[in-house]
Parts: sequence; C-alpha cells; structure tokens
Amino acid sequence: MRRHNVQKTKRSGTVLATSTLPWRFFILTVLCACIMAAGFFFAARQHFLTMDLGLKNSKMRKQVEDLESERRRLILAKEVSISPSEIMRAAQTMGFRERTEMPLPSVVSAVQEVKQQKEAETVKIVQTSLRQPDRAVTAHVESGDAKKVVKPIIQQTAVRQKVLVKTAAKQNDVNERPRVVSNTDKGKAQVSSKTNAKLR
Amino acid sequence: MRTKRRTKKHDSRQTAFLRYMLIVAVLIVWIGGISARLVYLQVNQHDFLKDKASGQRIDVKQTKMLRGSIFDRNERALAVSVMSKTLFADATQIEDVEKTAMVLANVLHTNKAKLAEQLNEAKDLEKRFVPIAKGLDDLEAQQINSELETDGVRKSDQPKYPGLHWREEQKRTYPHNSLAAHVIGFSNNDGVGQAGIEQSQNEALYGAVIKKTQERDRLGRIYDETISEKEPAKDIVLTISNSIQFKTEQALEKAVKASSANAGMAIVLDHTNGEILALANYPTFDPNRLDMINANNLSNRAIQGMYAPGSVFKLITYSSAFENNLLTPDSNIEAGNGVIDVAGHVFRDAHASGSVNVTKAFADSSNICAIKTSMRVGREGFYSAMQKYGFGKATGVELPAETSGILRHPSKWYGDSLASMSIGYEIGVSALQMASAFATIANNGVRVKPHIIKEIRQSDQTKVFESKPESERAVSQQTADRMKTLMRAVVTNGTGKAAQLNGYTSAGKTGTAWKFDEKLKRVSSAKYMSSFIGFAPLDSPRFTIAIVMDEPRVGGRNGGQVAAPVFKEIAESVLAEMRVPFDLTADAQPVDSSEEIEESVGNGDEEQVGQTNPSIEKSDVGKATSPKTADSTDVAKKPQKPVVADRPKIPTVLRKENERTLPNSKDKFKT
Repeated sequence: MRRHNVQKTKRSGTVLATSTLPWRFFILTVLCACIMAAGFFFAARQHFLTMDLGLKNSKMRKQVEDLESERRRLILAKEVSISPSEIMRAAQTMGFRERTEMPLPSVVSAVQEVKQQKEAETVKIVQTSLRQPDRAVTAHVESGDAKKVVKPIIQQTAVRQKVLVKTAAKQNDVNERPRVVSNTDKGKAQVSSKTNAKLR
Repeated sequence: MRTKRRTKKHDSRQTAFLRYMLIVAVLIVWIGGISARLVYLQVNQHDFLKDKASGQRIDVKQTKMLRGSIFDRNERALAVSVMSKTLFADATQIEDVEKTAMVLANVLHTNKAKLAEQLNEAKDLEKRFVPIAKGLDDLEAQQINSELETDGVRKSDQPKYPGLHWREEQKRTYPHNSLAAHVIGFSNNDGVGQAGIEQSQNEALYGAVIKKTQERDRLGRIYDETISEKEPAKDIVLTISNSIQFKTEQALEKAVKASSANAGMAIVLDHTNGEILALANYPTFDPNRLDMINANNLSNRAIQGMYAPGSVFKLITYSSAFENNLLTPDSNIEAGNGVIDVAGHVFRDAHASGSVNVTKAFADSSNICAIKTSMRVGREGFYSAMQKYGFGKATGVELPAETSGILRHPSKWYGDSLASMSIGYEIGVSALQMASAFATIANNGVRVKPHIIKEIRQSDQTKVFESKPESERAVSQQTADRMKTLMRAVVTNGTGKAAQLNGYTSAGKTGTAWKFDEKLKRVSSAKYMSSFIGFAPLDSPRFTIAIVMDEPRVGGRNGGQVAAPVFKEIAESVLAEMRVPFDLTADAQPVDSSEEIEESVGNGDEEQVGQTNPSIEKSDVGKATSPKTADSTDVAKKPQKPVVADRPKIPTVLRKENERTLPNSKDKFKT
C-alpha cells in the first residue's frame, strides 16, 4: 500500500510522499451532500410544519363552524324559552291568570254614582270584578273634585292581602329537548325521547 | 520479474476499471430504466395519474352558507337557520348488512327488519346515499357517534362504523311558531323564501353555495382547505315588536273566535315614523309546519286583501271638506229623513237625524251627511284627497303581493260614484292603506310611508340598509286637529264607545260595510266587513291601530261592536307596555255608554235591483297586485241589490217633494 503513496522524481531521485486520493473532491462532495441533506431536512421540516399548520387550521375552522352553529342553537333555545307563549304557559303553571277585561261601564257607572251622591263628602266606590275573585278594580273618586284623574287600579287579591302564593316548579315537558348548559355537558347528555321519536 | 509485476499491476488495474465500469453501466441502466419509467409515467400517464392522485387526496365539497336571520326591533330572533345532521349509509361500503342493521336498530331504536330490508335493497342497487336519521343536532349526533364507535375501524370521519356517514344540512327554524307568521313568511327546503319577508328579501337572506377544496392526508385529516369567497347572507331587523305582535295576535284571535268571523286583520302602526309595530292576521299558520299551510291561512289579508271600507272612509270625506274650508266641525248638515237619492241610487241612514252638526254626523256615522259633504267637495277635490291619503297605489311596504287597491279616475265615475265613495263603497282598499290614512291624521296631517324593515346588516353587524321615513303632508294641521275632534266624538258619543280605554283618551272611527257575495254576485246585507281604526292617546297619539273583521256572525255586526273592543284590548296593552301615563279625566269619561248608536250600513237598497256598475270591470280588478288574496270583488259593486228585505221603501212622491239641490255640488241629488 505504501508504494502507491510514494513517488520518485526523475531529476533528483528524491521520494515525495503524495496522496493519490482527491481530498478536495471528497470534501467538496461531502459539503455538497451536507448542504443537500440540510436542504432536504429543512424542506421536510417546512413541509411537515405546513402540514401541521394546515391540520390545526382545519381544526380551528371546524371549531369556528361548530361554535357558530352552537351559538345559533343557543339563540334558538333562548328564543323558544322566552317566547311570549312560553312565558304565558309558565305563568299559568305558576298560578297566574290571564287579565280579565275591566269593562268601561263599571268605571263609568262609578262616576255617575258619585255625581248622584253630591251630599256625601267623600265617597269611596269599590267595584270588584266578579268574574275574577282574585282581582279587584278600585276607583277612588272624591266629591267636589270631579276632574280628578281616575286611575283604575288592578290588584291581585293575593298580593294585597300579603298572602304567600305558592308557585309550582316548572316541569320539563317529556318531549322537551334537554338544553346544553356548557359544551362539557354534551357528553353527559342522553338522547332524549324527542330524539328517539325523530329517529323513528 | 519486472515484466511479471508490471503485467500483474496492469491486470489488477484493468480489472478494477472493468469492475468500475460495470458498476457504472449497471447504474446507468438502472437510472436509465427509472428515468424511462418516470418519463413514461409523467408524460404519457400524466393526466390519469394526476386525477388519481387528486381523487385520493383532494375532496371537493359544495355547502350552502347559513341563511340570514330575521330579528324584531328588540333583537329577538324570529327566524334562524341552524345546522342539522343526517345520518346516511353508503350501501356499497357495508359488508355485513344484517349486523349493521342490528347495530343501527339498537342505537336508533328502530325496526331492525325494516332497516335491513332497506339496506339490502340499497346494496343491490348500489346506492351510496341511504338516509337513516334526519334533522339531528350536534348533541344527538355525538350521542349516536359514541354508541356506534367500533374498535379497529380506520375511518377519517364519524361515526367510526363502516359505511355510515354524516351529512350536514341546514334547517330553518321559527322559534315563536305562528307569531308574525304572515310578516316573516317561510322558506322551503331549498332555502328559498316562499312568503313574507323570507320571500321579498330572499336575495339578502339567501345563503350562497360555497365550494370547499379540501386536501387530506393518508389518515383523511384535512391539511389544506380552499374556500371560494362568497358574500355571507345578511340579517334583517324588522320594525315589529315581539310583545306587541303577540298581544295583537292574541286579541285578534280571541275576537275572531268569539264573533265566528271568517278572518281578522290587525295593524299597529307608529304613525310618527311609519314603522309597523304589529301586523296580524287570523287564521294564521306555523311556518315550522309546512304541511299545515293552506290558501286560507297563508293569505296576508292586511296587505293583500282588498275590501270596501265603509264608514271609516268618511274620514277622507270630512277631511277633504275641512281642507277646502267648506265646513267646520260645528257646521250643520241637513240629514232630513235619512234617505237620499243620488242619480237614481237611494242611500239611507240608520235613522232620520234631521239637522245635525258635522261632529254629530261623523260620530253617528250618517251616510246622508257624508254624501252631502262629498257633494260640496266635488269629484276632483275628493279624488285629489283620496290620492293624497295614498289610495289607489301600494303603500310600498316590503312585503310581497301588496295590493294597490282600486281607485278609478273621476272620468270613469258615474252619477252616484261620488256618493258611494264618500261612504266607503266603489273603492278597494287594504287594511294597511286605511291604517296609513288614519295615521296621517294622528301625525297631524303628515303621511309617513309605512315600512316593516328597520335595517339590513351583514353578519359583522355592518349596516347595509337603514330605513328612513318618507313623509309628505296630506292635510293641514288644522284639518288634522278637526278630524281628531270628530274621531274623539265617535268614541265618546258615537258608534265607537267600545273603544274607550281605561285611563286613556282614544279616537277613531267605526266602519261596517256590506260585503260582496260571490254566490249572489252582489253585495249582501248578511255579510259585513266590520272595522275600527283609531289612535291613542288623543293629545299625543303614540300609535294607530286598525282592526278589520271579515264576516262576523256572532255578537254583533257593527265595527263598534266587533272591532272596537279589539282596539281597546290592544291599545290598553300597548300603552301599558310603552308606559304611557294616564290622561283620562273623570269628566272626560263618556257617561252614556249604555246608549247604543246604530251605524248606517250599506250603500243602497232594493231600488237598485238589476243595475250593474260597469265602472268596476274585471279588467279593473286585474290591476290589483294581489294575485290570489285580493278579494277585489269586495269592492262595492254599488248598484247591486242588497239581500236585505226589511228595508222600508220610500215613496217616490215623498222624495220628489223634498227635492232640492245643494250649492257647490256637481251631482244633483234628492233627499
């Protein structure tokens, strides 16, 4: 092996130890290979980063859509629960009754009656709506002051007498869909009978 | 020795060279082969392979953006679109149909045999979309996903069960059910508006179709997505108030049921800015249940229906006289014996009034006085007044198929047309037109164009449209004030006492008109359009309410009996909601409410038998914009004979004796 690395010069006959391997070429090759490898590495890294970002982006986009969908669903649920008809139903469940019309003639006859009783200094007329025993309409009119504003006062008997009114707790309808309080509750929620009915 | 060594050296080098060359040759062949293959694949097979790769990697989806929402003036949602999911089976991907059917039946609580049959049939036909469950929300979908999850199934989408997939759809929901159904309308399954605001504003509300190009990795995860840009649907805010609408509908429904009427209409109008606070019709429908909608309950009669208004139209008659300074509220009019003959057409009052002032005449709804007043105003003056109030053309409210009514030019009038029109016949109006006319008086003579859309905005709350009230003066302030006085008298001493409010002053006018009978082909005294239109409080009116009842049958026929109580109920509720302070004093309370004043009804009597009025032809009717619902035949075909039989005949001799002609009248008439 050594012989391959020894070369004699013709003139002086001295022997020079020279390498036959092209080190420069090797180094250059290795350098290029390193650069290429680094390039590939960075390109791959960029590629996978992009893929990762794309995946995250896609997930977030889906989340936005889901949240928007959920927002709309909650708006809907809120609207359903506070719709006038629902409130009326809830009020009825709690024991409230629909307002009974106070007929105009009753107020008017009260005024007439007051006018007829001019002698009396103070007249207090109380007329109760006979149809609704828990409501009363009171008109206060003082004689000699006929121009005083008549304001029909509608009161609930129970309130006036400070009687405690027991209200029944609202029971969810069997067909009512369970409403989601938070997203964490979603998993816990069970398929309601409405769902089942729909699926059928 | 040297030679041998050299030979050996030479041989080894040559061998190395040969080996080297051999390797190079192999490499060249190898690379050449690969290159050739690459060239073949990338040149010859380019399109095929590209499509194949794209098909595996790229997924193109077409989805529809959510339709815009509709809100009331208080931002309460009236119509909202939500996403719903449909579970479907791709029958070609299902291997074990029986097992799949059993699993699905357990999860969905359905009949296994039916499901299996359905799937088998689909598999035979290679169907790729077999809907299993429709209209499910996220919660329900998640529940089903968790129950269907199977180990070992490699699938990018839910549920983790072979052959089963979800498809997203949108569902239009109306949370308040039938509330304001005629205003909101409804949209069909394709998301296209079919009635109401949904129809008229379909372009703004329509959710555009967008194309999503999704690139997926080998696990089916989306790593790149391209979405075609489209403008999102807009939201619409209406002028109606949820609570006022509810109260109006409640009161109207109650009244229609109580009077066994065919239908009822109610409009609550803010006359200061033209905003419609409530617009109700009964019968109505629930837009969530399309199967329950029919021609009868779908019709928005308040704007699409046309009818002869009757006595409420006397507002125009008297205001035109005031405007022309022909009368004052205290002027006397001779009503005589309650009968008047105009161009051979006999008009009657409910009773003989003699000489009465304008206020009394209006309060008692005297036909004779109104006719005489119109004679003073004259054809052109009266026609001009009607035009100023907006009759004969659509109000321009943003709802579909609004009728413009029928108002003929004076050149097409007949001898008795002016008289008929002065008491609300021979003219076709919609409830909204009448409400607008009364609103003009309430607004001190300034007519504001009614509208129902408050604003249109984008999803980011940017306003793209905001309604601005368009107004014009129709009558002077003085005329409006005079008319208010007259209308107040109707409530305190006239035909509209039932409209007196508790604690508030109110003003208005009753109307009771004979209705055209399709079967008889003439107006029938057995069928009425009863109405009451008014406002409250008197001094500073907050709103105008119009109530029209179609063919009331029980509990009275007059507007004062049927419609005025509805006005009262709605007005009291709305005033309380608006927290308007009481303004009614004790001395202002009407004290003679027990006395019922009969309203003059009808526009003719038996003497008109056989006469026809060619002035309102089918061609005229066709001019109405309402295609189906405009009951154009309601427009009084004045000379037709009413069905009433007990109306007394006035001897011709008597009429001749009383014959006289009023000054300023262009048409001769007898009384």
